[in-house]
Amino acid sequence: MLSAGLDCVDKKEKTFMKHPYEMKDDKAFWKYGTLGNGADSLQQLYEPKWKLSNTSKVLTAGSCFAQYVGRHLKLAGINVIDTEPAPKFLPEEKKTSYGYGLYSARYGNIYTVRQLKELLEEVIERPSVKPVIWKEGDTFYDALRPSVEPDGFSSADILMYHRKVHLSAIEKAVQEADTIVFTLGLTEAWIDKKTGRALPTAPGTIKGQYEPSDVEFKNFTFNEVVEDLRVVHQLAARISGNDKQKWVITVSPVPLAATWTDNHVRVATTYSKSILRAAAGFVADTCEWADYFPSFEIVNNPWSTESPFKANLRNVKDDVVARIMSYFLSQHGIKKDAQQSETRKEEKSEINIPENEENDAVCDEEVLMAFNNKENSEHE
Amino acid sequence: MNNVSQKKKVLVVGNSHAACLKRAYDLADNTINSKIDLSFAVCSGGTGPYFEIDDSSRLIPLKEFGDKASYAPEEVKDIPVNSYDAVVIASLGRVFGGIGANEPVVKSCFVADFGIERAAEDLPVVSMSCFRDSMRHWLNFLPGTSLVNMLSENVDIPIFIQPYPYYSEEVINQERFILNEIYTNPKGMYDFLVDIKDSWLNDLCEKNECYLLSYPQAATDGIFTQSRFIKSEDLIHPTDQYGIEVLKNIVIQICS
Repeated sequence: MLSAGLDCVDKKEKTFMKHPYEMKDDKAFWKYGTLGNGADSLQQLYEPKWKLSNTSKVLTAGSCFAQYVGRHLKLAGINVIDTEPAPKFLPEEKKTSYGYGLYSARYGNIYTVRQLKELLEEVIERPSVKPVIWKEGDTFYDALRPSVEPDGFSSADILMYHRKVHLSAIEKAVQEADTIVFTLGLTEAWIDKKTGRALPTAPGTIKGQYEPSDVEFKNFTFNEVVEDLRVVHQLAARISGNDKQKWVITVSPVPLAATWTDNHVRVATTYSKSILRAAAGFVADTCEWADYFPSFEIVNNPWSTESPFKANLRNVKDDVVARIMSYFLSQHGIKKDAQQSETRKEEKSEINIPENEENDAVCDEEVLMAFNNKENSEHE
Repeated sequence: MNNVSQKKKVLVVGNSHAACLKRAYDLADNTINSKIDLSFAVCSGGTGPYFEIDDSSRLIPLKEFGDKASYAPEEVKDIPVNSYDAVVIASLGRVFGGIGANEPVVKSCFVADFGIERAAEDLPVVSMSCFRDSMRHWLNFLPGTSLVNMLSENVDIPIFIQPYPYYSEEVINQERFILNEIYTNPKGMYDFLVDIKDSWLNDLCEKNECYLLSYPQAATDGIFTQSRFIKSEDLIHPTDQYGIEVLKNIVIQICS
C-alpha cells in the first residue's frame, strides 16, 4: 500500500494529497459511482482483462444462469462450441429437454466447481472412473446428468455407451476452446458415497431415490472452491494442451431453491453466494488466466429502482439478463448486429423432404403400370 | 353411412402403394364392387401423397413433386373432395424406405440400444426417446401428413387412413437394407420403428378425428407383412392380393 501511495504521489507530480482515495476514479466512490450515475447504471462496473472477439471459441458451463450466457453469446455471433449438437430432426422445443444446445456439451447444469473438476478428471482418466447410475424400474439414469435424458436409458451398458460418447465430446470441446465461461452456482452438494462424486442434484429431486446411507451432504468452503477452480484450470489445460486458455468466471445471481443446512434459505443463499463470489474474485485477482464478470452484482443490487427478479423472486427477468449480456458484450467490444441474422438463421430451419431416392424409379413404375393410361398420367 | 344398399363413392389418395389397391379394385369381385366406387389420385413417393386441396376442397398436385409419376384425372381434380362419401389416404407413415431408400432420419443418427455396425460409428448417438421424438417430428411435417391435416380442417366426410404396409421379413435379410448397414440388431430397430409409426398414426387419427384402418390380418404376421403379399421384384410394394385385403377392410369400415 505504501508503494502504491508513492506511485500516486509520483503521478501527481508530487502534489500533496489529503488521503489515498483522492487518486481513485469516480467509480470507487459511492457518491459518484452509484448516486452520480444512477443506481441502475452499469458504467465502469466491468473492465475485461482481455477482449473476446468474434473469432473466439468459447466453451460455456455452469449453473442454470450459464444457459443465458451461452444463448446471448451465440446470438451475438460468438463461436460458442457445441460438440454434442442436437440430432437434425429433433424439434426445436424438445432440444433443451434433452440438454442439447444449452452448453458446449450435454453435461447439463454444473452447479459446483467440484462437479466440473471431477468431470474433467473423468475425461482424462476414463474408463477407470466409475459412473453413478440410478435405476427406476427398468430405466437407468445417469446421476451425473439426470436432466439430459428425461426418459433414461434401457440398460446400464447403454448408459455407459452414451457417457463414453459424452466424455469424448467434452474432451473435444475443451480442446477447441480458447475461452471458458464458467458460472458458479452453489456450494451445497450431495456426494455419492460409493464413488465420491459430487452430484448435480439430490437423489429423488429430478430422478433417483433418496437413501440416506448412499449420499452425504457437503457445503464447500472458500478454500475448497478456490482450490477446485485452480485445479479445473489445470485439468482443462492438460486436456487441451493449451495453458493460455482464458476463463471468465461469473457467479449465478439466482438464489438457492432449497438448502439442506439448518439456516433459512435466504441466509444459506447469502452464505453460499458470498463464498462463490469471494472465491471467484480471489482467483481473478491472483490468476492471470481468470477474469471475473459481475453479473451477480448487477442483479443483486438492492439500490436498483426495479426488482430484477421474476414473480418467484428467483429467476432473473429476461430483460435484465439481456441487459447484463449486452453490457458484457459491449465491454468486450462486440457488436450485437449479429444477433438478428442468427435469429433468422434459426427460424429458417425446416424439414426437407428427400429427393432422388434410389428407388424412385421403382415407385414411378409401380404407379405407371397400375394406372396404365397415358392420357391421364401426368408423368413425362 | 347407414344406407348399405347404396354404393359408396370413395376417393383414394395415395402414393405408389396405392397401385395395389387400383389393381385389386380392377380384379375385385362383387363383394367389393357392389359396395364401393373408387376414384384414384396418386403420386409416386413414400412421404406423400403429394397433394393439397384448394379453397373449394378440390385436389391439387403439389408443384414441387411435379417430376414424379402421378395419376390424377381431370374429373377427380374437378370434383370437391366433399362430394365423395369418404376419402382414403393410402399408405401413410413411412418411417423408412426399402432397399436403397434415402431415409434422412434413420441415416442421421443411431440408437445404441440396437448395436452399431463399425461403418456407422461416425453417426451421432441418440437415446431411444430422442429418436422417437425426432421421427415423430419428421412424420408430422411430411406432405402426406399435411394433406391429412388439411382435409380434416376443410372437409366433413369421413377420412380413413391406411397405414404404410409393414415390410416382409425377407427385407431385413437384404444386405443393402438400411437398418442392416447401421445396426447389428436390425430387427430390434425395425420393431422400434414400427412401434413409433403405429403410435404416431394412432395419435394423428385421434387428433384429426380420422379412422385408422387396420393392417390386413390375412397378410400380416406380427410386425411383418407375409412375404407372399410383397412383390418379390422390389420387396417394397404390396401385391394385388394385399390390395384386396385392404379393400375388404375399407368396405367393412365404410359400409358398416
